[in-house]
Amino acid sequence: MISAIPLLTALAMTIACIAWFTLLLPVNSLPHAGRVLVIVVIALLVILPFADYPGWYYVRAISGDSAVTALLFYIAVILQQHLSWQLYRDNELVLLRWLVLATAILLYPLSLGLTQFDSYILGYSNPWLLVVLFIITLFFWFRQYYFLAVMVTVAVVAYSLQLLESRNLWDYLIDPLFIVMVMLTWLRPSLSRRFAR
Amino acid sequence: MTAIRFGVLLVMISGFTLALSTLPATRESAFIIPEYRATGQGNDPVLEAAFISESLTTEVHSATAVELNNGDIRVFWYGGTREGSKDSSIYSRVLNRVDNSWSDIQEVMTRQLAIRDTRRYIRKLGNPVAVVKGNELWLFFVSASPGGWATSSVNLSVSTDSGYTWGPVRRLISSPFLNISTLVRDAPLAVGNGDVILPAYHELIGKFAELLQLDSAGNVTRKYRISHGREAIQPVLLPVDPNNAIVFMRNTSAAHPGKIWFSRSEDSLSDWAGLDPLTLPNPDAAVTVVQLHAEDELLMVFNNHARERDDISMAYRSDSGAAWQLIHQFETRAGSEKEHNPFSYPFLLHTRDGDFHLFYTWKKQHIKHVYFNRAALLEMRAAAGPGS
Repeated sequence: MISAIPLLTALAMTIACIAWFTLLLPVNSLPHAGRVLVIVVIALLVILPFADYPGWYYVRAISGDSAVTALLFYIAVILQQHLSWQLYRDNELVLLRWLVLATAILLYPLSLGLTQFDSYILGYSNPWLLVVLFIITLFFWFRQYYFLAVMVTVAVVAYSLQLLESRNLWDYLIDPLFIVMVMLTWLRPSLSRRFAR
Repeated sequence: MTAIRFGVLLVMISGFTLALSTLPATRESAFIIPEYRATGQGNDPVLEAAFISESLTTEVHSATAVELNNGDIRVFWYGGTREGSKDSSIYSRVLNRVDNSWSDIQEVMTRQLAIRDTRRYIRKLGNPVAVVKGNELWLFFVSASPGGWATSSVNLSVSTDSGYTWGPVRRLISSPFLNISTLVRDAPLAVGNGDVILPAYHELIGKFAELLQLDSAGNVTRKYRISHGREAIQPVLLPVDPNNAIVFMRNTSAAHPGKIWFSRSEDSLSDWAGLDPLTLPNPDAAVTVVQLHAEDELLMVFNNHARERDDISMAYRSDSGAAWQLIHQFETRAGSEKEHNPFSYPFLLHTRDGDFHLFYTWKKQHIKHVYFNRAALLEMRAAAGPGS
């Protein structure tokens, strides 16, 4: 994730991988020790080398770097799943799904060449995108959706500190696997119940 | 609860204030119009050809070249057991313009180096392009991890000794969709503010041309879309004034195939006219174009066929209102040959002293170099007849 610090990049990839498996596999039914074992195994698979390179090199080659918002979401998922720390409210998850879906519809078809307008360029040095985000974040704050407010704020700060390789704000806010994971909580009721408990 | 509420608000205001105050200014780019001497080397026509890749690898492809500050020419290509094989690397050698001798071939970039520096697994390398920026030589190349070339990303390495040693490889981030499917094929341009404009294209889902603007640190800071849909890739970028450029593109269209695409910017690189087909054919293949002594006096090397890459031909256009005229054919496939698409990926370099160096893929086995001077070009035009 962070170009200058390989260890943090490895850590970010490990967090992402644990969260993906946590969301995709039925680990919730395992006893606590079983869950810990699954996490350790996933972490080892990500960190240990396979055919000369650490596992996360292969994952990163496909997934790219996770958006900062995605990493915070993944951390929240892991804490909620395995330590029962509830960092966000159920309503926040519902709103997050809609926002992520709307952003994906706005961003991806246009950035992949559907029209002459490329929505991705809005993320380069664009004060208006920051203003819009601030208004959205104020709405979160007003509704007491503090996790979403902090998530977006941290992404914006990471962008201003240029912590990712990208200089485009969109890459700090959203990535395709984040969308898939958020949608999974919607499409699979069993996953939704994990968050609602 | 109130403390949390106002704490979050404070964090929000601080964070967004920081972001707005550190937002990089939009960098306006202005093209530098190149100047060429009208004479070239010698008054006698010279046309020479040679293979330069020396069978170091079984297959070679996609040669490009750059004129160094001392006038020497550094050529790059990629090669391996076959196109896209794991042993593919980027190779390079230098043509000394004083004694017209070639240096030994250097393996300037390997898959292992790129994996180590980008901290991503990479399956294959390809399509090197380079630009001289002050005392630095910037080398861009594509790499793919899963899938084919359509899933490529662009990488950058910088040399401060004209290409004998190279700095760490960095990955350019140019797409929000897993950062896949950005490729390069033709020459970047260094612009007046120290930035680089890199012609690029997408091949996954959409097939379209675009320009990436990179700051002096090599970060992509802006993009410009030239086309959309699935029509055109591999743009060749030529500046016509400080703010505008023209591009020629490979035709990938299913609806309108067979002709080289052309477009021009309208007032800035953010606005492009629609795609316009030339009269010249295009078999879904790369073309190369250079400017002569006026911005709209052009020389193009291309495959002169609508379906096959059976030849390497050259056409000349005297100005924007004139028709293209075929003036020379460097290669043509003999009727008995069974090789499919034997000649491809031409790259033409117009050196500051007015000479021309053409590189292209010869049956995937060799990179062929053709040198011709200004006098030879005039002779080709004269032989082609009036209008050229």
